[in-house]
Amino acid sequence: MVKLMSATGASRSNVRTWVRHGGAVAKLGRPTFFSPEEEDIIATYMVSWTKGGDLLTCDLASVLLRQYIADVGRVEEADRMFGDGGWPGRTFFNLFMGRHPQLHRVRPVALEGVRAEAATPEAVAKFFAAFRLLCREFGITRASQVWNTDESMMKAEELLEGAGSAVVTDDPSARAEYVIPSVQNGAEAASLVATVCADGSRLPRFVVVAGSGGRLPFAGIVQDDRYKSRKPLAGYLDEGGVP
Amino acid sequence: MKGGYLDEGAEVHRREKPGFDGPLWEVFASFAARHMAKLCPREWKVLLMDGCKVYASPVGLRVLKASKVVVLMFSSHLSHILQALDKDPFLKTKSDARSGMRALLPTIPRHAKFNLVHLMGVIRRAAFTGLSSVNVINGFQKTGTWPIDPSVVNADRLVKGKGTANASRNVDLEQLALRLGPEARRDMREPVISFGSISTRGRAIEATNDAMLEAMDELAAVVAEKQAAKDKYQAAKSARAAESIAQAAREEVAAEQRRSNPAVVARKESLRRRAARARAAAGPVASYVCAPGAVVEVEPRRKRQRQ
Repeated sequence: MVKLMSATGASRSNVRTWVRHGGAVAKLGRPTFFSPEEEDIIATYMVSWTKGGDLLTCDLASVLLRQYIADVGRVEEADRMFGDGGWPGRTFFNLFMGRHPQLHRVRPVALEGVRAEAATPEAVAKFFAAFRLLCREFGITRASQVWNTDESMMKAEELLEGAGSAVVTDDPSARAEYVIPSVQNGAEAASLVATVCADGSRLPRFVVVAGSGGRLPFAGIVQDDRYKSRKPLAGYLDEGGVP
Repeated sequence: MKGGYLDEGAEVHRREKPGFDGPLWEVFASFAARHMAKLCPREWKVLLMDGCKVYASPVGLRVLKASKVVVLMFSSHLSHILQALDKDPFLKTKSDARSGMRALLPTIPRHAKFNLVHLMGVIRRAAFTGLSSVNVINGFQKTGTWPIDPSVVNADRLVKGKGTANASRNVDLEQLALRLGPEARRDMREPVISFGSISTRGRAIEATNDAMLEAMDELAAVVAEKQAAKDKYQAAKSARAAESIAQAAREEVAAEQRRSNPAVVARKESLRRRAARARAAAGPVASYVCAPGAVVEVEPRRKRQRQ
């Protein structure tokens, strides 16, 4: 005992428990519903399920496990363990994920159906082949020769609604509201056109705002002496322009 | 002052719906060509962009080509994988816009409206941080567009959800790109017309290529012809509408002239006098006289409910 204690640095109590179990680590807490072998098979099955591109939610996994429980005739035991209905719930999955660190929770991102259909390895590979060919023919060898342009819509209403931040209150059931200003006609949205280079540089911003007429828009500014002046909106976008 | 601002940088344009249309895209193309030509005037540059129908303007593309910019359009619906701007730069810009708005809100006086100057301020701050060098370089790296590296794209993501046969495929994009090289070379310069525009379905196209520009010219000519026919039809329709309005006005004038004709006026006066004489001869009569043979219908009385 003393020899083992000095060799491992463990306490006498730990060494005693270890000797009593023949060297195996003693499991604490109540036993799991599924045996370790069953759990390993379930984890492997979960991984193979997602390999085909199907999403496995906890709800779906719960349904599949309930079917398995019924097949092996452990319904009453499951009722006792998981409550009414015998469905493995959130707690079961939290503990299950803890026991199987190779599994991770990932929040899926929405993808349009046409995009999912169009994204084939052939289409992507053909783009890269075409890109390489162009680079060879036009002598594109440096990052400063590669550019990308696209537009992104900035909607004032969406930005205003998403601008709320958490507030402190002594009443957890209190409903906190913040007041947003109404949006002036013509300031509802703007399209930001960005043109960027692979070396990290970019072209000046090009913005399209809502409004009739093709003239470059101005902002009316009331000065201290109540004199109204007009400033081009583009000036508000320049780094050295009006703040 | 305006010139000072615009020469050195940003441009703001107005359109009924914020976003590009044909003429505005041509303005942007000249803006981009002007700025890109300044950067490395002797070298060709490649501009990657999505194959939106509006961008397929031969005028805008020729302006870019004249500034030594070759345009490569992505295959349709692939920009979420291949577009550098859709990765870090725009994601960060949007998130910075929200935090910028959070900072701006307390500075807007009560009862004041959120105006264009506020929106410009939010865009300026968001673009400053979102389109930073680090984010831009990360965007290109994450899409494998510079340095060119197809292996960066997650091939598993491309085969999943497309049946079991695809799911079991072991795809090496690098090898596949090599194998599909000849096909890609043919596709990028051979215009395929679909639904009145050059198709980018499953193929990247070199939009500034002569064959592509010629095809775009032909399509633009067809569109212009259709527009001319439409305008002609519309003009004829407007002329017909104007003619019918003028005809109605002429008939109204003629009716008015007839009504004010002395003979008609005299006849009307004579009839009125005769009626007045007849009324005077008949003496006072009740307002409503029941004509013989007429049936007077009264509203049926509702039956009373027995208790």
